Amino acid sequence: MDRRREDDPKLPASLETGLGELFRPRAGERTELDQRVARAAREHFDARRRVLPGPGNPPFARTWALRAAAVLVLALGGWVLVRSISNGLRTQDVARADRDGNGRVDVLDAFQLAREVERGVAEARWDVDGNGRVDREDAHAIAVLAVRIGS
Amino acid sequence: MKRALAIVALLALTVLVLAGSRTVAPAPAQDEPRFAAYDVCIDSGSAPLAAWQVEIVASSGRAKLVGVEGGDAGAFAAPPYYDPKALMSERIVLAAFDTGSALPSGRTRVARLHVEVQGAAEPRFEARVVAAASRDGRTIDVSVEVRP
Repeated sequence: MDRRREDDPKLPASLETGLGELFRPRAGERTELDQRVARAAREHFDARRRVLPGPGNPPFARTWALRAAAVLVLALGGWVLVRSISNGLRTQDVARADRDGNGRVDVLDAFQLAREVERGVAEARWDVDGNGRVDREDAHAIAVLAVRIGS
Repeated sequence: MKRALAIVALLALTVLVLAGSRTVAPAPAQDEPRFAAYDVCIDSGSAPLAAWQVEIVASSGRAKLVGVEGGDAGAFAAPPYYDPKALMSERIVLAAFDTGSALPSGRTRVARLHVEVQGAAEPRFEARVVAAASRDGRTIDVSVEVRP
């Protein structure tokens, strides 16, 4: 150790002082640099706070709650639609099929319409299957509804 | 001599036991499915039956509906309306109507149910009239019965 220290080149004192003065950080520049770094960091984390979840960030929670609710409503609506279509006639058709208004669709509704079709007095509003005409197929559709097993 | 008689008696007893065991029929398996048909009959009295709807539920025994056939020849000879989803279940709704003039009255077989029965117990069905009408669309009182 001592040998190496003895081997180190010795700088002249004036040169050492001059180099130290040359590369010494200046207080003003340092402050400005620190402020710029701090500002950039603040902007960066402010932006992240707007996107990421976290406590004390209610707008974020509200946004995602609304999105989740919208997805749920769409899924539920789609399920109801697919289900009603897969069952043949839609809900409003079922209500329309209750011709005697006793609160249920039964064979008497179908029979009544079949008799009117046969006599040629069936009104256009009894086009239950929506094919543009009132015929025996509409009575058939009502009978199918009447025997449907609830799922 | 006594020894010979004892041997003969023992042989005779063995033969009797073996013969007896062969005549015993094997017991039917309890869970082997079998098929049966049940008639759905409606009695409309003196009124001509033009439209009917009944609900039938298997109330006891293990029975599953496997098919629906029409009734007696005439107005209700064709199979009635029913939901195919009711097959392989224990509940079904049947309905039919006819706008013709040759309508039955009195007791009429309006449909026949084909049923798969599990186990030895005979299934029982409960039937309920949902609606029935005469030729002019007037509601009439009828009774329904499901029987083998």
